[in-house]
Amino acid sequence: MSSTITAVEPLSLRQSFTDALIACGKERDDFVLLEADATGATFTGQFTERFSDRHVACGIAEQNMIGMAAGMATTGVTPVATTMAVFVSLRALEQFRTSVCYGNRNVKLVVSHLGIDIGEDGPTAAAIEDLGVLGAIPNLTVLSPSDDVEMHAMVRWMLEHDGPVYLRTGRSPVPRVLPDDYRYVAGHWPTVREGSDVTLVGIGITVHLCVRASELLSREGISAQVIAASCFKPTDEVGFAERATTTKGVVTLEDHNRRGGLGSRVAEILGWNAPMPLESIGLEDRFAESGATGALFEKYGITPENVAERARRVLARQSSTHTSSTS
Amino acid sequence: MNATTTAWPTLNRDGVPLPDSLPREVLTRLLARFSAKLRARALVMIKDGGSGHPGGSFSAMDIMVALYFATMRARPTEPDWPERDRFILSKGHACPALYVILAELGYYDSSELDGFRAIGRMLQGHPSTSTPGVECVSGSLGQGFSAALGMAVGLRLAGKNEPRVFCVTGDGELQEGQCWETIMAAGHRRQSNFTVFVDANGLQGDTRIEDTLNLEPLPDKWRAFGWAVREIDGHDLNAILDAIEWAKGVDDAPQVVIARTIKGKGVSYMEDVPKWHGTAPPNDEEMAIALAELGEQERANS
Repeated sequence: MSSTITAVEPLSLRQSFTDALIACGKERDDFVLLEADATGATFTGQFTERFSDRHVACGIAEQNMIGMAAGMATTGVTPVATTMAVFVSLRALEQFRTSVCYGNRNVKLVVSHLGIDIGEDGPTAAAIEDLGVLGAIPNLTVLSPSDDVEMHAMVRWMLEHDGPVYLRTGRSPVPRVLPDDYRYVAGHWPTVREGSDVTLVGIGITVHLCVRASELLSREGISAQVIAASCFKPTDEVGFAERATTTKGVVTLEDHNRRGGLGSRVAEILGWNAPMPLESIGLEDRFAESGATGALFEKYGITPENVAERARRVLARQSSTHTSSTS
Repeated sequence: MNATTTAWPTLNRDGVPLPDSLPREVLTRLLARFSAKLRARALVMIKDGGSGHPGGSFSAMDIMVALYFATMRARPTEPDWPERDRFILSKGHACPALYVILAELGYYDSSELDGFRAIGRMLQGHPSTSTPGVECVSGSLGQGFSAALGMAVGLRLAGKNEPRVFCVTGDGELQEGQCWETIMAAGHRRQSNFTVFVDANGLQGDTRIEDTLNLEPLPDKWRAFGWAVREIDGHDLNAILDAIEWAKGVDDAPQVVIARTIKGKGVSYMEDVPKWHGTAPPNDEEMAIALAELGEQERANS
């Protein structure tokens, strides 16, 4: 990218979200924050402190929170409902699917606690299925920004967009990967780094790990482009496939079950548009465990080194006469 | 059927319900007449559509008629009028009652009633927001109730103090845990612009509520959650109108009217019989009996 990427201290996506919401709160008063007793997880308490009259505490009652949001959206107030992903993407899923998405209501659902990024709290609280579940719901836009720049752009877009949106944050601090003048284009998966041999696709907190993998590969003379699956749904599939096919293979990296998540999504996009070798890294259809996030990422292979290894493998597959299936 | 429409002089399209000046006994007769007529129309719709839920439609009909024709401020030709009162049928399977009322009021042409549950037509098997006058999706029990509370909260946040939100739930519906989240939240918020009617017909899909998962004592439960509670005969239009007036006067709590009703009300062989919950329509012979009985009720209130 030719534009400048300002170096900043790594920042968690949940902090970026709250920063963005506060920034928007100063500019407009048409949205209200709904929360379900999880502000320690979502970090949204900072918004409430500044805008106490634009806040509805729903208690530990997520089904009613989502239902209320569907109704509230008809009164000229945009509800921004927040909590941990499992409690809405699974516990209140039917309310979100039917009251919000079938009704096509202008509700924004913003979630934290995605994947093994949550660390010590363990599998009970770690959403490793939300992309698969929500990716199957009509009318819904699913957003997963890569850094604070994209978070700010997406929060602004989300509040302007008339319709249901699911926005994912994250816990671990992430470095900035997109340029200062980045603008979110609906459905587009931005190219974060240019490259010509192999395509690395990340989502949310794994995008910067793909960038690091591209740096490892460049030392070996392999040129990797990095693409962020920022809008999981709906997606400009052709736009992605066209860029992927300028390289010889694709590797996906997600902190999510590999089944139903980014790996599956990229497999279907490529299968429908431009079949080519693909390797997918994520949880291997299993629940993980409690532990320090960094150690969990190492144990479950969500690392730049593993991406680089799979990139070499996908390039080897491409040059062989056989097309083996993705392991 | 058109003859009675013209007998509704004040059922206008400007958001003004029947005038208070109408003597109560005249008003209740008019409403009773309409309930009978609209039950018949709903049954024809279900018969034509090949399936639907007559039992719960008929138990809720008197409450809904009183709300739509004698209470709520709304504009059928401007369904999204921001100052309107809202009505949410949380027990969405009773939508035949809602659909015939909305058609009668002119939210859409009554010819739509011929396409209930039919492919390519407007009136879905359960309420959908693609139908003018339908405020939210409902039919997955418990969900409409939460959305209704969200409307009441949203109206206050938006600075609208006039509009009220009315919601009808079933009693069986209250077996859904989501309902108790909503009851808790509304009580906690003292959401006084929110009035709920429980269409307490005592039956649920399979059989009797008391034999399945008992809900009584319902009034005590709601009271314990901070609601103002009244219990009435849900087919006594005078009592329904009184309850609405009472609810409007409560300014520090949400209000619930536990309306004791009869599932299948108005058709002798359907009354309090679980099998008429849904979804098979009456056969031709049963249909003739039902229309005769409802026609008699309509004439009796002329």
